[in-house]
Amino acid sequence: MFRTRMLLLLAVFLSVSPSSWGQTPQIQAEIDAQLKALRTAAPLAFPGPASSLVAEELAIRALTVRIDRHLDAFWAKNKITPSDVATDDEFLRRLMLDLAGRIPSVAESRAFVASTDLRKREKKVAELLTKNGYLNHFSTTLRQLWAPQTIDNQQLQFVGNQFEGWLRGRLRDNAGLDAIVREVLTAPTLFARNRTGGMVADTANTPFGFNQANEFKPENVAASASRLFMGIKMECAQCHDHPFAPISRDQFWETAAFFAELQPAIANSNDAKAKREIRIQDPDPKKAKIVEARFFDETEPNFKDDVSPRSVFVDWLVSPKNKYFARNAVQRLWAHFFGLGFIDPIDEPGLENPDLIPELVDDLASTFAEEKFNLRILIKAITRSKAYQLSSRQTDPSQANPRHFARMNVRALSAEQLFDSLALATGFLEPNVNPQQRAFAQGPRRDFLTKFASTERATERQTSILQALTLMNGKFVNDQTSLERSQFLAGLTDAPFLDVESKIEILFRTSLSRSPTSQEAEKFSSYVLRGGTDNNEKKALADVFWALLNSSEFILNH
Amino acid sequence: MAISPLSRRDFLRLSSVGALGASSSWLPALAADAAANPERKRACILLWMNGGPSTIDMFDLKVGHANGGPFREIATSAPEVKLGEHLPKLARHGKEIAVVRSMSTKEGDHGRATYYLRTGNLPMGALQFPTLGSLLSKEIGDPRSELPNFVSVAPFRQFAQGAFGPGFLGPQYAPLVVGENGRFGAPQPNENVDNALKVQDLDRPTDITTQQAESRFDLLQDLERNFSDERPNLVARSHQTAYDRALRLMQSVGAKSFDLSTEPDKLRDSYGRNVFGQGCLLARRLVERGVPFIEVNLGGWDTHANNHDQVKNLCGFLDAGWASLVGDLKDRGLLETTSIIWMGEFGRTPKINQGRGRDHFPNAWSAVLAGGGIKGGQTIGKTSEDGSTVEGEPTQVPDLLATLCKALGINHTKTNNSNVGRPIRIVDKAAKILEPLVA
Repeated sequence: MFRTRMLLLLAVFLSVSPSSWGQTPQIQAEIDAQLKALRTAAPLAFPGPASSLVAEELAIRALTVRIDRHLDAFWAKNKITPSDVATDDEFLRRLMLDLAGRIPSVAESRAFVASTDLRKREKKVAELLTKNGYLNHFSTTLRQLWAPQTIDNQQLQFVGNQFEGWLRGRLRDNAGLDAIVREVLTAPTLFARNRTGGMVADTANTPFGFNQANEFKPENVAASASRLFMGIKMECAQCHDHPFAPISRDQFWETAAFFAELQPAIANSNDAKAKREIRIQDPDPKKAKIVEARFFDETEPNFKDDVSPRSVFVDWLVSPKNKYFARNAVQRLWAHFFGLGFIDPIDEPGLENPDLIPELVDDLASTFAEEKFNLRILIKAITRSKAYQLSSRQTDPSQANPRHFARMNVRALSAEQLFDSLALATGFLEPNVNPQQRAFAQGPRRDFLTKFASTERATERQTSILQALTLMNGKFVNDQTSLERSQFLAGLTDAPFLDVESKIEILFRTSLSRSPTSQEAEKFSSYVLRGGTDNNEKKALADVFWALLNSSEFILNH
Repeated sequence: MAISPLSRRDFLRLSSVGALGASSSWLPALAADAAANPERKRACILLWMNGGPSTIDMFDLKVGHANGGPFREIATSAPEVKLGEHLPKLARHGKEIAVVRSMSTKEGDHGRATYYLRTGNLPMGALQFPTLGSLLSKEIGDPRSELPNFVSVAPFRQFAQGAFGPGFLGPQYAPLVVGENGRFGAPQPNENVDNALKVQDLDRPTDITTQQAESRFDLLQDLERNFSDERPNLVARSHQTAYDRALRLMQSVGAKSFDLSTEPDKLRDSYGRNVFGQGCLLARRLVERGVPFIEVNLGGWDTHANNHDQVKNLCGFLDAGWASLVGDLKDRGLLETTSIIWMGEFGRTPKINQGRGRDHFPNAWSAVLAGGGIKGGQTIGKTSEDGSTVEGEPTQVPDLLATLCKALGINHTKTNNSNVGRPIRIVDKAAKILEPLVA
């Protein structure tokens, strides 16, 4: 009901025909009142520089409606009936995993369900975007995407953590993605001089780790930049012409040439020309020629002797004329919320991998560029979309294909999401360590991050036998479901003011962020009331908790 | 997609397993039976050299040429096979190994090359090709076996995650992974590897009774059914499959294979006390118990700098593990039915760079086949005097893999259904079997 109202609200606001959404006179009146309030009271509703915030809100709403229109059209054309709107429980759990990297607490989920605010879903998004959870989760996610080498390579871990800390700061400032990428691609080189003229690069306050992860090699940085920021996997063109993308071997090296100054011999050179050319690495001396920096789309680079060629590259990369940058970014952000982009893999475009809804990507990309690559605007629009609000339940066979977004895709959690959710559900208190050391600290979190790390698609990730054993038999889950070793469980089972049904309700809500269904309530209560297998009510509650924490519903995002 | 009814019964049997497993005197007898059994299926061991091994310093030396470097060439028990000087133990088994000196590909990027060699295909859009172990163990493994059909020892997956998984074959063909530590470099000598190679958390916690464990699983099964019935999806299916297989493994007597402490110290020493060496020993134990595919990974081959010192060091690990494996399998009569393939994602540049290293070189390099189904004691293919090109017909990746299939008695043109709806052959049909290698 709530969702219908919101859609109607948007529809009226943007003069879209609401007829298909089943309006009633009461709802219509409510919408009119809300609209009036929004129009007249905007400065009050949005403290601060009101006009820009209202403009921002308008942009978000406009984009949401366009997303919905494109998907509605796509579904209609392919005779797809989308699933139902997700319940508040379902929505909040998913939203918190996607934005804060963990499931909601019992208190958060109860408060959300109880709220009668019509705009509570979008308000929750806005609230979460200002919280540490978002900064932590997105900086971790970006670091894993942009500098995956720094996760498991011990020598790179330190700079990787610094890189993550830097990303966190940029996200806190809500820097545009163009600005963030600019800083990443023009980060200090190994031998660059710092402000006082020393040779030590400022690793802590710059995205230095990105260059180090790429071994300060122009060809590595160029390959990463093109894959991560344009969605074009150039690596293979390093040795031969690209099989799919229009990238030749020479073009790969011409791109790498923009990063020539990363080489120690050239870093502090005054030779401007040397900073924009590179020798193709080839065992055959005839092929090992020197090429000059050029854009593969034949745009003419505007070099100036006192401007780093890397800056010239970024100017071109984030220019509105370069459609690759915004398109790649929106594909990746969409995939963050749905498990898949519109093409898959995102960085291997080609005939075998067609874009299913190109108009939608165009719209997302152009709005993203118009809004100065403001991530929060894009996030708000995507999370308000009808597709994101859908249940993961399959209500019609036409919803089967995960690339059609006709129901929410069921996705694996990242290792961090899994552990942080387990910790929250079980009341586990992580030893207090400062954020810099946290990444190195030994303990259950580290163990989980190692054991559950994966780069597989979230919609297809495989649970290994070892992971299953860890969850079934491992020390952490065993401790957290032990009456002797878990304070949370001991406290819950001992609580004299709660009956068995309430205790089971709490176990469901802390793990699955919902109440049990009536059948579940009946089955689990009768199991506990008869004392499980040992004629012991408390032990039986521990069994219920174990089963909940081992369930797909807990382990997955849906 | 609920957990199969088998699981519940398996749980009931868990209690009796402890007792059976403890009296392990029957284990050697089981192993002896395995070798004698005429119905015995074949097994395959992949020795995967992550990073791209310098084959020019090991299997195709260019002594006297500037590209050759400082290593000498040594003779082996087979006149036709010559090796680098740092593989003296393997040289004793020259009659068992066949060196292919004509490998040639175009992929010089770790990720793509790893994917190519380990799946037989280049990454292609949404298609998820299975790794060799999943493909082949599906053909020669028993789906009902309690031990997994595919065990992977100490993989380094970061170059190409997809090259280490079952791809479109699905989760039931995924490997059981032990000894994974994410280390890209060479093994550390004298590290305690026994724990690393054990299956962690295999035992039910001591404070949980069998009955309790069983009813926990009952509760779980209901939750699973509700969730998956309403939301058919791949990840939950994989989650449930993993639980199923974990349960089967828990109640399997063969799980004792992962405990290497029952092996004689002297034998263990001969394999080398490191993850690779003990991984080779584990491979032999698993072959004895009917596991059809084991891969043992050795990393550290990305020798861009100081190549020769690093290769010498790595050869120490490789030589001990590989030579002991061949000898041990032979002693037990298992070598005839066990094919071994040794390879990395590419070779290294013949030209030695300024840092005394060698860089990525896919153009001309070597791979090795040995054991069951392979006519050992020979070298096929030839590279130019400087090692930079293959002279004569180059061997493509599908050719090598099809030859391995032939050695294992697998028809490589058989197809599997893929995730994009079209059938995909085990190995591309353009593959040409290297007939002289097949016994």
